[in-house]
Order: sequence, then structure tokens, then C-alpha cells
Amino acid sequence: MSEVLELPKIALAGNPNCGKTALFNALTGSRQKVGNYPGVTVERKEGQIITSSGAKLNLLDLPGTYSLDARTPDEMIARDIILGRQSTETPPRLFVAVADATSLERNLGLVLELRALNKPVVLALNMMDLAHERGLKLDLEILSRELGVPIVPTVAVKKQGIAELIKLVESRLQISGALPVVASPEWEKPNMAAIRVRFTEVDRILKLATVTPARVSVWTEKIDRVVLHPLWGSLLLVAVLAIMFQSIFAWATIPQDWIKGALDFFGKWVGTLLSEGPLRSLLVDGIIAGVGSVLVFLPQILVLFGVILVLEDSGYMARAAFLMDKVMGRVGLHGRAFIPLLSSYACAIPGIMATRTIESKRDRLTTILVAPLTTCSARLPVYTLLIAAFIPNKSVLGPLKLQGLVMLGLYLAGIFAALGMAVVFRKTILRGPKPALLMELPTYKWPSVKNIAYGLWERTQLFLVRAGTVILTASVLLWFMASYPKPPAGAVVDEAHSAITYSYAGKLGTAIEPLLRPIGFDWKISVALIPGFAARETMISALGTVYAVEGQEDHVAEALGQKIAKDWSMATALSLLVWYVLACQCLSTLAVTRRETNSLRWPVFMFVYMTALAYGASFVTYHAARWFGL
Amino acid sequence: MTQETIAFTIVGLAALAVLVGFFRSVLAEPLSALLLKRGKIKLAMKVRAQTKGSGCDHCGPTDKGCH
Repeated sequence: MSEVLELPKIALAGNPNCGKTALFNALTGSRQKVGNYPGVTVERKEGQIITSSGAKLNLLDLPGTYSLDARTPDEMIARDIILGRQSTETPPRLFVAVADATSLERNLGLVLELRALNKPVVLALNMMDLAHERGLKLDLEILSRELGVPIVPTVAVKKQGIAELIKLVESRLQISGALPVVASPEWEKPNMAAIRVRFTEVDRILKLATVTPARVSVWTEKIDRVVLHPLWGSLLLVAVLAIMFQSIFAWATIPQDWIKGALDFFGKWVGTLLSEGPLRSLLVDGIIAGVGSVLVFLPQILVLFGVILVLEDSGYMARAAFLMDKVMGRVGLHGRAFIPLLSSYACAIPGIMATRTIESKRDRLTTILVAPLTTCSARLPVYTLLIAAFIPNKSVLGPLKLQGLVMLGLYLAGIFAALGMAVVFRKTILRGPKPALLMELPTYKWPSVKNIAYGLWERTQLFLVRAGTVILTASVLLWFMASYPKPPAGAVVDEAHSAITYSYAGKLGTAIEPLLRPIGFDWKISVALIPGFAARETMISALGTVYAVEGQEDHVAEALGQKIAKDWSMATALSLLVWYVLACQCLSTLAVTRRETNSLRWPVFMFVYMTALAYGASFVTYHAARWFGL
Repeated sequence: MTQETIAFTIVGLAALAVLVGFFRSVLAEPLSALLLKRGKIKLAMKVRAQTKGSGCDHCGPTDKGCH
């Protein structure tokens, strides 16, 4: 570690969405997340470059910023590191300014600011392939001379120009090595006149250096005429979402059956190896039933995220944000809140962290408070289990199936709940001026198969790690709680009073049940909700274990779905679905909210309001469903 | 070793893992801040070294949908 800290440090700086992270990955060989929209990097990231001469360099990937005059928390991180204002960070010796060659008018402003800091600067002119495709021809010699910095053309995603860039960085470091390091360069906040002068200078340089100007991307314009159209664009968005949720059920069935079959076989095989006893019960009823009941949902998660990754990589997601801006503006959410809310579909934690791109504290806090209401992937197994058990898979509206529509409905319920609560917060505790959106739309491109394959592989790894850690641990503990103590000698054990009702889990569930009975939850659901706080999907494994211990079932996922279909009413299932849409069942979300708001007040508030909302909505759902005879 | 001994050992290890995980993800950070306030810098640093990020600190929008 100390070796890493002592290496010469260089930093990548540039506008959002100019390809810094792709360049960082190409230079260091790491696999940080890249995306075809601004604001993917909100923290500094560090890696190591090894030059052709074998020298090692430390490379920082900074969040994107349009200027050193930072306005948002992520831009402030970039500015403070660039200006050497962070006491914990050694100031960079050299900057690699990264500029998107297709929009130099905007990107070169920051290059001029960096140059004015009197530190060595190298310019990586990225996305040169796209610039060439659009017919842009630049005289790099003139551009370099006028900017006063050496230039390397790059295509980071194809690793073009990387060796040349490393060579140039090394030579610039050797030249500047004899010079004293400027720890905290002087910088003054620019006024409007200074900003105008800077961009006039950019215009002058570009006029001199441009041989042939770029053509406007005809395809992007043509596609955007439909995609960004208020009516057609909105219809297309709904259609895209509908297909996405239909695909979860339609495409994942076969691999799901394979996993179910494998788990079934494995459970029976382990059962034959051991004689009847606690270890056999722990392995079969606790671990295989618990972990297995979550593992079967992996194909569905991969299908959902495969579709999202394709939409992201193609540039469609930024258009969806643009379309949603009007709706978001009406409820008082900043347009930039779309990306954090979109991130929350994977997990509320990166979503909450992505709010750092929002400059106003009120806007940011509103987004943080509503982000956990959007449907994270951990809810997906719960939704899928309940939908498969209670909703018939019949066709409605032509090729659309009811199960897929219910899933879409649950996701929409999460969106409406988030938007509704945003209205409430903006009109009560977080009142303030209506925010405006300035958003850059990336060009369309074919999704990279490599990026998508890697994204899915990463997701599989994370899911399996989670199943092997949190869910495995919870299953083991719940098995113990559901198996001990055994019924006392002479106790009645029958249909109504199974052995599990004498266990710790049974007693705990029975103690909580009166609180949750009004919303239709029995003691088994009540007890399964507790480990669900560690990870939402753990509730499934907990139910799997409780039902397996109770019934000594060997058929893992199939048995759970069938068992709850027999054991619960439709009203209970609907109430639980509503609970899962709205409840704050995630300790990690509360922990990250505390960290991001630097206060205990907001996570407590988040937990209280979401729990109250979930309880109230589940109560109404349960009693309405019963009233309808469900 | 009987089946019961092995099963209870696994349960004990799981319980220990939960306690350690809870300490690292929930208790360590505020405890380290408290120790720092009271001037016990060395101990605070030791506790801080035990803190565990959420595990999603470097997530992008579709990265790590693990919660």
C-alpha cells in the first residue's frame, strides 16, 4: 500500500461522459463501470499504470466536471483534488485532460483552466472514431500549439492511442521531474467576463484547428424525432418497459427449471448420504432449501439487467431521462434525479450515492428520501415468487401475459410512490424553487457485447457471493431458530400445532404477529421479515427454511411456491407485495443515507415514513382484497 | 463427532459472522467517531480500520444490484 502511495500521481480530468472511466480502464486494466450517459463516476478512483520502461504510476479517475467552478458534490471532489485542497490526497503531478472530440466547444474550456494551473497537462482527444465518422478533421499540430499542451488522439473503448498516451505521460513527467511540485496551485473563482473570455478563446482555437467541421449526426436526429416526441416517445417508453417485464417471465423459465431440477437432485442426494439427524436437516432444510429458493431467481435478474444494460449502452436511457424530466419537474424533482432513481433499480445504494450530481441540497435530499421506493433487484425474487404462486399466467391484451403486467404494475407502483412522496416532501419539509434541467444527450451507438457480457457476469458473481454469504448465514441461523427448542415431552404436535410453533422462530413470530396480523401477515411471514432487513431477498430463503423445517420438504422452490399458494389467501399475498413495494427493508440503505446526509435524523425519518406508508397501504390492500372476497 | 456437534458448530460460526458483520457495517463507524471525540485516536483508527463500506461504493447504475 505504501508503495502505491509514493508513486507519481497523475489524474484524469474532463467533462462528464467524455470517456474518462473507459480511458482509466484501458490505462490500468481495471473494469470500472462505464456508461453512455453523464454522471457514472461520482467518486475518485485509483489504479496503477505500468509504462513500457517498467515504471509505475498512480492514476486517479476523477468525477466529470465542466469547470473548476464546481457546483455539485461530485464536481467539488474533482476540483479539490485538482487544486490540491484535499489534505488526505497527494496532489497530482500531471493532468491528463480528457476531451470528447465530438464536442470540443464544450470540452476545451476545462483544458484551458487546467493549463492555467501551471502544472503539466496532456490532452487525450477521445472518441476520435466517432469524430471521424462525422467527418470532423482537425489539425492536431495547430490545436496542440494553440492550446499549449501535447495531444494524443484516443479511442478508449477500443484501446487505441493508449500506448502513445502512456509514453507521452512518462516523457512529460521526466521533463517536469526536475521542477518543483506545485502542491496547491493558485485559482480564483471566475466571474462571467472571465468565463466568456475562456470560451471565446476556445472558439478561436477551434476555428484555427478545424480542417473540416463535423456533420450533424443524421441518424441520431432522425431517431430522436420519434424517441423524444412527447407522445410517440412516451408510448415507446411504455412499450419498452412492458417488453422488459414480459421478458422476465418469458425468457427465464427454461434456465429456472434447470436450476430447480439441479437443486432438487442435490437436496435428495445429500439426504441419501446422511442418516436422519440435525446435520441432515441443517443441510437439506436449512441451507439447500433456504439458499436454493433464492438461487432460482438468478435467470430473471439476469434477463432484467441484460435489457437495462442494452438500453443504457445504446444511449436510450438518457432519452428516457429527458422524457421523464417534465413529469419529474412537476413533482419537484430535479431532472438529474432520473439517473439516481434509475440506479436504484439495481440497488438504492448506488442510487443514493449518484445524487451527488445534484447541486441543490433540498433537491438532493428529496431524491435520497424517495430513491428506496423504486424497485431494486432484491425485490425481484419476492415479486416473482408471489406472482408465480398467485397470479394466473393467462393472456390479456393480445400477446401480453397477466403475470408480466402485474410485475410492470409493481414497478410502476414504486415509481408513483416515489413521485408522490417527492410532491409531499417538496410541499412540506423540503420546500424550495423549482429546479431546471440541463442535460447532455449522448449519441446512439450499438451496445458493446463485451460490456454487456461483463456486466452480466459481474451481476452473477455478486448474486452468488451474496447467496453464499448473507443468505447462507441467515438460512443457517433461521434453521436453528426454527428447529430448536424441540417440543417438550408430551406436547401435542398436530396440523394446528406443528413442532416449529414450539421453536424460537415460532415464538418470535407469534410475538410479532399481533402487530402484523391487521395487514394479513401470519407468524411465518412476520419471522421471515426480520432477516429480510439484511437483504430483502433473504425473506424468501427464510420462508423456504421455515416451510422446509415445518414440512420436511425436499422440493425446494417448487414446494415453497405451492405451499404459500395453499397457506396464504390472495389478500395476504397482495398485502405482502404492497409491503415490499413501500417498506424500507434494507439496513444498508439506511447506513448509506446516514453517510450521505451526515446525519442520523434523515435515515430515521426515511425508515419511519416508509414503514408507516407500507403499513397503511398494506392494511388498505388487505382489507379491500378481503372485501372483494379474495 | 455427532451430527449435532457439527450442526451446532456451523450455527455458531454463522452467528459469529452475523455479529462481526453487524459490528463492521453498523457499529464501527459511529464508535470510531465517538472514540475520536474522546481523544482516543489510536483506538479510533483501529476501529475505523474495521469499518466496512456498504459494498456498493463504486456501483454504477446497473452494477451490483445486490441489495
